[in-house]
Formats: sequence, structure tokens, C-alpha cells
Amino acid sequence: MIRRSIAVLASVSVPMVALMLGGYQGGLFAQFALYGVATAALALCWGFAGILSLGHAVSFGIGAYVAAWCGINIPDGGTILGILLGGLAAGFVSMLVGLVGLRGRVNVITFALLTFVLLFGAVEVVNQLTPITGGFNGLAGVPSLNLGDIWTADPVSQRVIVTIAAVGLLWSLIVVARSPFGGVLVLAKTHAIRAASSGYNIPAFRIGTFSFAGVVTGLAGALFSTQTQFVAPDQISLALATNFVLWAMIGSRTSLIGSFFTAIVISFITNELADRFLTVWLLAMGIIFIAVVVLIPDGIAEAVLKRLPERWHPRRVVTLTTATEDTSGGGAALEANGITCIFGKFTAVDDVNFTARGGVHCLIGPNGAGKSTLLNALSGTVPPSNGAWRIGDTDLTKMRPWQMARAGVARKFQTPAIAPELTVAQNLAVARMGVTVHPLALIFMKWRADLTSTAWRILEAGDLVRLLDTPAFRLSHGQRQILELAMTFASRPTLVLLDEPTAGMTAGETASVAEILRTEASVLDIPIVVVEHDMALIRSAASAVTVLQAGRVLATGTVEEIENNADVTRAYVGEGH
Amino acid sequence: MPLLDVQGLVAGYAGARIVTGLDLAIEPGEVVALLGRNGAGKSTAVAAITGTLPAMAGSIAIGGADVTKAAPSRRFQLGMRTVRQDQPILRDLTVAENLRLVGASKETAAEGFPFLAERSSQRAGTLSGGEQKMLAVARAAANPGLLWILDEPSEGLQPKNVDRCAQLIREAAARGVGVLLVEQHIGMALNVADRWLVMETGAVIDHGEVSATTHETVSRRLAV
Repeated sequence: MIRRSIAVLASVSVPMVALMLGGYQGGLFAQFALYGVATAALALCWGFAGILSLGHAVSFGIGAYVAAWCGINIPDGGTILGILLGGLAAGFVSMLVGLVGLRGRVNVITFALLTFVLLFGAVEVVNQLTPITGGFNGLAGVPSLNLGDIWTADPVSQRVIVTIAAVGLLWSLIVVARSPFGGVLVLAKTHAIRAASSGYNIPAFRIGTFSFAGVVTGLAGALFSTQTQFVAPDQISLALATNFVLWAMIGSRTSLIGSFFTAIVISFITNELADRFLTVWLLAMGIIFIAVVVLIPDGIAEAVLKRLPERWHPRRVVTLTTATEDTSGGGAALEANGITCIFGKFTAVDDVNFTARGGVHCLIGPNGAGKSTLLNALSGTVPPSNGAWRIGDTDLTKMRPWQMARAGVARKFQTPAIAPELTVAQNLAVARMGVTVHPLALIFMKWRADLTSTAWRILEAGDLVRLLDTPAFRLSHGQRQILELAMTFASRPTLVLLDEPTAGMTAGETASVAEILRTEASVLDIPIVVVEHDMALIRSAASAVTVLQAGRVLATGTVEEIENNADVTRAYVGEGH
Repeated sequence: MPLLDVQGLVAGYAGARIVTGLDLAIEPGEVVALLGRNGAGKSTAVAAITGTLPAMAGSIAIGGADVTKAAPSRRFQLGMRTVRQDQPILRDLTVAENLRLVGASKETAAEGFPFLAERSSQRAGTLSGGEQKMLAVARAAANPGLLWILDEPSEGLQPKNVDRCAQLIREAAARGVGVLLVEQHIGMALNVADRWLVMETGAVIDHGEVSATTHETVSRRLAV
């Protein structure tokens, strides 16, 4: 586990270095370690959750100013109160920004611009609010760490404590990133809808992550002001915000440790060289940055990892077990009434009434008949314009996709939706946990999940069991289909909605999957609604078939009835079949 | 001289060679079905042949011109047309614009798939999955070039449209277009193809003439 050994080494060495470097250099090192923490917090949001903040210095500055003001004006309380308030204030502002910008579908660029504008607002506030912030001059005379009259840190313990705190903050970020919670963020980065249909309230995950990063960055900024004993508009400036982004980019936004050390190293080099070669240095930094973007767009840490032998690669080891069989709880039917989906002038699904009982219920029809749209409506992905539907006694009409998932509705999408950066086993674990685990509990959970025997049978049919520790981006299209199908059955569903589950699978795999679906539906007595074109699968698995045409139900019946229906043959199959 | 000549092709991603030495040749007017299990390397081979993934070793030539290191645009100029498995069309353009980009009118395209004319002003990304596939095939058919590389064109199509798709492929072949057809739908593949190849762990392990083989023989090869 190379990442773990690096992390442990770093934890121990950072305070040691601060101690050994001596007064001036050691103090700088402590400051730069705090920059490193802020950079790592940015990397958590950017590389894992896919949300980029161009105004990350706002959190850092809020922490620094709040702690400085409290330290100067509330001397009895010591610096601890100011530091805690600094972290909380930064987290609160981040939460407000998140509530504005991270609800619903998130556009990375729009959110980045929002934070950019916020930065300019914050800079303006700091410069204008002179009585509190000291304006351009900042606030001088910030006390170093103390507990009122009881204890005041001398310079050596000051920088050792600050660097230990920095390592602690870095660890808290790493814990989140590596936990199943981080796995959910990564899945949502590529497939937000898949993550929602796995039982996760994605806006809450994103706002929570952004706020947490805000708290950590605010604490780093607060410690920074006690270390420098001075706070200036530099701590909330465009330059600092830009540096955070550059450091994370150069270090690897998907590596918190890489971001942390890159911030420290570049800060040191800048500090050493900037005075001596000011103009040349800026130019050199520009060239280095462009070179990194062009040559190693994923950053230094990822580039180094890529060149290490495969066996050194860190892969989260996931323990997957088999859940105890529980065949109770089935028997509920899906009843949908008057489902209508209108997009502009186009009515994709037109007043569809539809009942599916325990068994495989195939939904067929010409391309463009509205099959996927109906499935999207039933799974809450694209809420319908009208209609109501329920499974047994549970009304699903007003539920959001993540609530449906927790109510037992499992969904597979037409094009395979998985997290390519996670391993096969991680994808399965994330899919399994979404149904039962509380979001905050995910942070402290081990990568451990019990899958249903159905999921295991699907994995075996697709020969994926030997690939559990493979990163999913290595999988072929058909293997991704198998994986997502297994994810759909990771926990015990009460209703399953599958959109062309066997597209891209070989005839042999299709036959196995058909058999698995048929058994699953009859043993558990649950409705499995399948959009499918493969007549072989329909014949072998379906207990009922509904034919859609131009958004309406053309016919419903057994496979035999549908095959002998002249209307269906004309609209769907064509001559000679 | 073969239209497409691939020799000793090796391709893959950092740390994993997925295509380990592929030889294949397609003559004008010939339809070659490339079959194989999931993960056998079919799509990676297609990516390397179409130029979206650099070849690690081996050579690729179109009509005698070496294109091993050429950009996809150069391969297009030499007559290659591609239907990709995922995202086969330009989602943000309308159906008509997708067709116009390859110099086709919606009327020509509608001969294959009538719905394309009715929906010509719709944004292509809002078409259903199967409809996007048909639009992609129609794009190739409208400006056929010399060589088609089709990655599962029948995926998600209703039986009737699978037939139309097969018909378009046969018509193109009759006019001399060479076709590499990657398919899971063995029925469709053997209906259209002259020859079949089976890939396993990155290389061709078996091949034959469609006329000399039964459907079952090929299925059995795939199941091994």
C-alpha cells in the first residue's frame, strides 16, 4: 500500500521538518503546510466531487480574518475560540454558496464563475470594511496560539502545533476522500443520475462536501493568522485563489497528498527565488504551469503513479460477501395510471396505464415509441407531466430517484452508467450501500458490502468475478453492462426497471441473464420491467409483454398473444420474422 | 490491394495491452464480421483502426496508404466512415445538421429510415438510443466513402430496423464499400457478412467464410 506508507511518513515528517528547519524557515514551512491543507481541500471538491471553486481563498481569508479579529479583540478567550469561529464562518459561507450553486444539475463552469464573482465581492468587503478588517493595511498584532493567561505558545511549539494541526486536517480530508462517501462523489461526478438512482441525495452530498472543505480551509486560514501574527488582504486575494487552483492542478487534483506537498514545495521555491529573480520567476512559473497542463494534465502525483509497476498501484481493497437469502417481501404489483410525458410540443408518452405483477414484464415497441421515457418517468429520473404510480401500498409519484431507491426501486440505464475511476468492487459496494446506509455513516464505513446472490450470479455469467479489483475504465462496453446490471441487483429490490440490459452482451451472456431475471422474478415475486428488443430474451424470460407505439399502449398480453398480434407484427417486427 | 490492411496491431491503455496482435484485411465490396466475447478487444481494435486510440505497434493501411499514425480526419479523407458504439452522433446539432455535415440531405437519409425526415429539426441528443444509432448509420450511408467501420450498429434497434440496417450495409457493399462489422447480434452479422473472424484475448483465434459455416458453428466458437 504505497499511498498509505507515504501518508504515514508524511504525517510524521511534517512536524519534524518544521522543528528542524529552525526559526525563520520553520515558520514559513508551517505557513505553507496550511496552504497545502487548503489546496488539498480544493482538490477534494474538484477531483472527487467535480466542483471547482475559483474563489477558494474566500474560505481561507474568512478563517484568517475571523481568527485575527477574535484574537485581538477577545484576549481572555484565547485563540482557540477565534480559530473555531473562523472555521465555522468559512463553512457557513461555503454552505450558502453551495445552497445557491449546487442544487439540481450542476454545471462546473457556472459554479466556478459563481465562486469567482464571490471572490471579488469578498475582496471588496475586506478593503471597504476598514474598521473591522483594517482595509489595505490588514490587522497587525494577532497573538500567537494561547489559552488566555494560562499558556502562550513560544515560537517553537507554535509551529510544531500548527504543523501537527495541518496534518490532522489533511487526514480528515483523506478519510472523506477514501471512504465510500468519496466513492459516491466520484460516481456522481460521471453519472449523477446513476448515483441518485442508487439511493444518494446528490445535491446534499455536494453541498456537504463543499461546506466541509470550507470548514477545513477556514481552520487552515485561522491557524495561518496565528502563525504569521498578521492578516492582510493577500489572504483573500485573487492571487491566492489562483495559486490554490494551480497547486492542485500541478500536484494532481485526484491526489490530496500530491496537492498538499506541491503547495508546500512551490511556495518554498517561490519564496526563495522570487526576490532574486522576480521577473524571470513569474515567467518560469507560467512556463512550468503550461508544461504541466500539456504534458501531464492529471498532475504530478498521478503521472508518478502511472509509471509505477501495477502491483504498487493503490486499489481500495473491498470486501464483498453474500447476503443471507431473504425471499419475503415480494408480491407487490406496479400500477401506473395516466403517465404522460410532454417535452415542448412533443408528447413522448401519452396517458399510459400499465400494471406489472411479479415476473418479467417486457416493454417493446418501435424505436422512439417512448419506452425509455416511460422508464425514466417511473424511476423519477425525468418526472412525468402527469400520472401516478405505486408499488403495492407505496406511492412513488412524488418521490425523488434517491428516495425511490431506498424504497426498493432498482434501475438500470440504457448506456452503462458506472464510475470508471472506481474498481468493479467499489462500484458494487457503492450501489449496495446507497439503499441502506446513512450518508454520514459512509464516511466512517469500511469498504465492505454484502451483495445478493443474484448480483453474484450476474457477475459470474459475465465472467466479472475475476475482475473485481480492476478499475472500471478498463472494462469493455458489454462488461460495463454486466457490472451495472449487477449493481442494480446489489441489494434486494421490490421493483426493477431495466433499459435494454443485454445490449452489447453475447448470445451466451444474454441467455444467462434471461434465466437469472426469470428466476429472480418468480422466486421473489417482484415485477421486473425490461425494455428489450432481443426476441430470444423475451421468449425465454417474459411472463407479460406490453407494446408501446408513438407513446401509447398498443397491446398487452403474454408473449404468444403478442407474437400473434397482427398490429404488433406490422409496427415492430417487420416481414419475415 | 486490400481496402483495409491491419497487421500485427497492438493497442490498449496504460499498463494493459488489450489488442495483442491483430491481423485483418478487407477487400472492396466485402463485409467482414468481427465477433468475440465481451472484453475480447473488439472495441479497442476499432478505436485503434479509426484513430481515436494510438496504436502501440503494428500497421494500419487504407487503400495502400499507411495511416498508423494518421489523425481520424485523414482516415476520413481516405474514405473511412465510422459508427461508434457510444455517442455515435453529434448530440447538440439537429438531425438535419448531423446529415448536412456529411453532405447528405434528409430526403436521402429518409430512404433508409423514414423517421429522420419527420424529426429533422429535433436536436439529435434528444432522440432515443436506437434512433441515434439509425441516424449514425444513415450518416455513413449518405456519404459512403470506401470503408465502413461499424461498432454494433444494431444495438438497441427493433427487429424491423435491424433489417433496414442490414439492407443498407448490403447495398453499400454492392457498390464496392468494404465493411468491418463488430456485432453481438450473430444472426444479423452472419446475414450480412461474407467472412467472420472471432477475437479472443486481443487476437483473431478463428475465421471462416459465412457460406461455409453454420450459425451454430460460429456460436460454439464464441462460447469457447
